[in-house]
Amino acid sequence: MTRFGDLMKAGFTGFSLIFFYSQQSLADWKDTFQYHGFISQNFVLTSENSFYGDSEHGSFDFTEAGFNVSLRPLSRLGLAAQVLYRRAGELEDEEVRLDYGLLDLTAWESPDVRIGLRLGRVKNPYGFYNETRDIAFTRPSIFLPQGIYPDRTRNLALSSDGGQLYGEYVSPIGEFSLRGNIGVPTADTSLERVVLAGNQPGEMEGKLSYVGQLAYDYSGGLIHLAFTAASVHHGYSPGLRDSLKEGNTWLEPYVASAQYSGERLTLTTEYLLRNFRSDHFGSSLPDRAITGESYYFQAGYRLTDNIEVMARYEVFYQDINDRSGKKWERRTRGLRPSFTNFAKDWTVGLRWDITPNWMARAEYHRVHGTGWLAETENPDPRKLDPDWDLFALELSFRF
Amino acid sequence: MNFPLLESTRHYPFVARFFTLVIFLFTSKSAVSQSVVVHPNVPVSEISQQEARALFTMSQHSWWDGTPVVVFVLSDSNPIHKEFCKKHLGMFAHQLRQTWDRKVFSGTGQAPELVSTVEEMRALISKTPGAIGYLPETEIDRTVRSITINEGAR
Repeated sequence: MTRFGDLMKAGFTGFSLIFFYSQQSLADWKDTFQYHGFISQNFVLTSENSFYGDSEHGSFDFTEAGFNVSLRPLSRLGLAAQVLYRRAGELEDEEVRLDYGLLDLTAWESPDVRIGLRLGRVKNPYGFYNETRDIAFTRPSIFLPQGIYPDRTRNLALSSDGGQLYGEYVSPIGEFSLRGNIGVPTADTSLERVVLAGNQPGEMEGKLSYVGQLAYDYSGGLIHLAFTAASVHHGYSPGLRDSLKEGNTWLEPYVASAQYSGERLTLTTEYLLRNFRSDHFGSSLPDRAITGESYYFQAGYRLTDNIEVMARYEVFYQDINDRSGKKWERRTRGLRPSFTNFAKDWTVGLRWDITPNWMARAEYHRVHGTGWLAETENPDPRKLDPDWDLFALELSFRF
Repeated sequence: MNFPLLESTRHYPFVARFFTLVIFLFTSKSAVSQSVVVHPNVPVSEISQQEARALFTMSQHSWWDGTPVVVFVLSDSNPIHKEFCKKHLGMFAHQLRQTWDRKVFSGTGQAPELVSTVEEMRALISKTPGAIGYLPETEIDRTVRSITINEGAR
């Protein structure tokens, strides 16, 4: 134990001497060790269409669990890692993955300014909720607004294997922060299905991508504003007897976010403009470029310290040049009904914080359109119903 | 089983809450207020409200002399904690909780040390170099040092 401990200490000391001027003792670094975790079980029931499993008959196929550890051996060096388990119907394969694993180096710290670098697998700052989207306690509802935070393609811009440069500046009028991620996104098969219409013989691979967010905080979070821009690049490596060539896809979302968070009332709105283009896949998949749009308005009200009610209206358009989806229906000769190109979702929900560790939720959605439903769960688009209801329950524990 | 809703109405019925409010409004400020308290070696005697926020949101990791910051808090529902957040940080307890959760579960920060009583808070602050927390003014003794938050500074 001591030898290993000494070795670790020596390593950390050497590290800090190389990168920084180390000034403090290492006596208490073991006291900074922390672990946290959560588990959430959800129940999903839909009137028509499938979401998170066979929801028309009531689905329990939506489970999330995570466990993380963190350590701050030096006040200028932090280490953190989280393992995530997810079961999500047919949306994606059941999996355990490294959600993040990083080294956090503070390059400069004063009461007004902090500048640092995070290296490793880093979560992408995208909108208000992406970084902790799998932790029920940090979400405003059981399901995040699906136009901006689609569960269908959640891994597209979830995290980067690379680094994040961050800066925070405390000004007389509030706090500004700027974060920029550079790295390779973690691709998965769900991307193939959405972009390439089905699981293909080859592989989609993440390429060097960028995510940046500028945020402003007034009065400790009373007003919170953020602007996110990203360019997420993937490339395709064809497999054997593959009709597709070495194509590329670019996802370029811009998100403007605003929140008022008072003692009881919380008002949130976000707007997304999303450019997507793909090229060089060969004749079987012509080059294309499409601009989508989504926005929502959300209000939450704390009736007591433990009970919060919320309501939200969200709109999603796959293509801003075809909001009704009629062109899409014509182009696909009726195979894809117009309503598969958009979704309008009214949501009401109730959150009960039973104890600081236990939380329960109930939520009802009335949805017009099926724009954010997954084809893996609804293989026949002609069987989709444009007007459907969704009811969900959630029980979550954390420590 | 634990029913916080029932409990909270039992411990703080409406009438009691009303009287607490009246007493709060008509007694001198010092009788009920808390102070930011630090370990005696912490190299500051006054901080701005925004510095206090940076410390209690776990954004600032070290004091200017390099000593690591160690933050102690009472539970979210503790009236002393709620009052401290509102009056000294100009924040609500739920905002602070949200900030910590986002840091802890995205790998960008850590949670503060949770204590269950003011006695525990005082004892831990007094023996942890770099420690910061808060105490009701009547609970402050010579083992810890209180510092002021200068709200007008920024």
